[in-house]
Amino acid sequence: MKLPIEPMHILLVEDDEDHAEFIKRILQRADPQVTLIRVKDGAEAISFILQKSPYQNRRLPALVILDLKLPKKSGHEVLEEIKSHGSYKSIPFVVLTTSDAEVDKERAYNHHVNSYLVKPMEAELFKKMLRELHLYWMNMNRPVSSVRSLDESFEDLDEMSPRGPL
Amino acid sequence: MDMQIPSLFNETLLRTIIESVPNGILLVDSQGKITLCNTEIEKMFGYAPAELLGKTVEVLVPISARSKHPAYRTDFSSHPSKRQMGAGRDLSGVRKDGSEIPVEIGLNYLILDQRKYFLASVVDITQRKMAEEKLHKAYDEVRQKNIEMEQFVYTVSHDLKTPLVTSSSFISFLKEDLEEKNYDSVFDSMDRLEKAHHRMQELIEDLLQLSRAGTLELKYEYTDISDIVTSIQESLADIIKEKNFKFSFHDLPKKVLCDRRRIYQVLENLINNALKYAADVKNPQIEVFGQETEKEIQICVKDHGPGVDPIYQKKIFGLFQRLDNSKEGTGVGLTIVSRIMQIHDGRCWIQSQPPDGCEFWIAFPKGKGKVYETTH
Repeated sequence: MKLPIEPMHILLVEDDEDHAEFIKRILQRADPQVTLIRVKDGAEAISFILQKSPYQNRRLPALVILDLKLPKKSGHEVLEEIKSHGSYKSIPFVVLTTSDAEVDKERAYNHHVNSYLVKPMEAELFKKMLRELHLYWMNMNRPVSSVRSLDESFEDLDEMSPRGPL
Repeated sequence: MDMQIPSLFNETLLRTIIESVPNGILLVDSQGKITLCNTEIEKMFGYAPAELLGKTVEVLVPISARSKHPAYRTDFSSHPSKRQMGAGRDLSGVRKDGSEIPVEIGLNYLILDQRKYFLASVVDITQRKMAEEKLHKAYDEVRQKNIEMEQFVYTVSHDLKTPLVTSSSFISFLKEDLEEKNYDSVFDSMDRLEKAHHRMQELIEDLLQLSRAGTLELKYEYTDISDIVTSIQESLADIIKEKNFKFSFHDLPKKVLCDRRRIYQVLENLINNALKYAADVKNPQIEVFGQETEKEIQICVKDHGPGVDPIYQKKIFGLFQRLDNSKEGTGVGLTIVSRIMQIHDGRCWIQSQPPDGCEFWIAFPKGKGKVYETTH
């Protein structure tokens, strides 16, 4: 029996126009069904996830791809705020940044991000990374989203793979 | 001086010895009376020769510790031993004129003609304390510089990588599009590559400027600020006109001791920012004015733009920190402003209550008094 698969709904928090465009194109190539919403700074990301104005009626993302260096509020600040909210803290976050500094990795993992990815300067590697990212989260979503409520499944994910490969 | 000096000592010998040591020496009897002292201690505490004799030793103890001191004496006399006074604590003594000096005191006791005496050897450690403080300050400065340097390298490496990621990404799209003869996209990719290239150039130029701002020696001269503002207004006349700004200035100080070129850079940065961020309002305005307080000469660049939310006000002075990426610039400008004001021993800050415009302030300390405040 085939399980129904919901198209994947991703929030991309990225201030750089070009990086956002690249990520979007590659993810949509990997899966044209993917819906991707992009916000440009940390403050907007928080409003979106917490469904504050003007995002009251937006669907919660199944995955947040988060840059760290952002205008207004940094990625770390976004994590701090979201992860302190009981009802939102189970949303999976993948950090995607140019920073490979230990301090950033440590801080991000301390906020229970699901993975920390450094944007490669080699385009082919970047493409591969994004394809694998999509594949991983697609598979993670597939069996659970159809049988269990969203919240439960994400809590499971956190337990199963707090620092999963992607 | 014929106090209770024991007969077995040759007074001349004793005098010579206690006058030869570089420390202050006090002999105190069990009542706390000073029975013997050397010139060194009189000089140290500002007393005339022999003036201290017969006084209780508490006159040399700071008021804050004076009432407890007799109890310490009693305590010492019941367990006398050779030791440092106030082990581990900072001690000070009070001079005749009331000023306090940091001291180190060695204690000993002796029994002469069946009477108990305490012998205190006092060292004035003012110079040492000053040297220590200087050392601490220098150490703190170096540490602060190191932290800044680390942050700088961290930020720079991040921000320089960004355009490189962009170019490698779009070069790969470019190849794909050329292979597929998809020429529309080719131009888009080329545009992005050009922008990334330009951005890299901008970043490097701004970084150079920033590093110069921090390393160059200041050339202090009395500077007329309205002169500076006038020439900035002239150099930016086209943009001011194009963006329909009303530009005015008043009450600017005529004589500020500063490095003219650096302060030009500061005001140019602030005015450029106002032109950039305060243009999208009905009647865009920039007003530059000065004011004096008791301690400072202050200059303000005020605009009527959307302002800056208080929660971001501290951040904006940080390197590469930007609130709106759609505006041009790299986020180095305010860091330069802050750095230049710092090396002038001045400060800079922002005052803004959105949506009612924005005031950027810079301040110079008056005279030689140093007003120093870090802004981020």
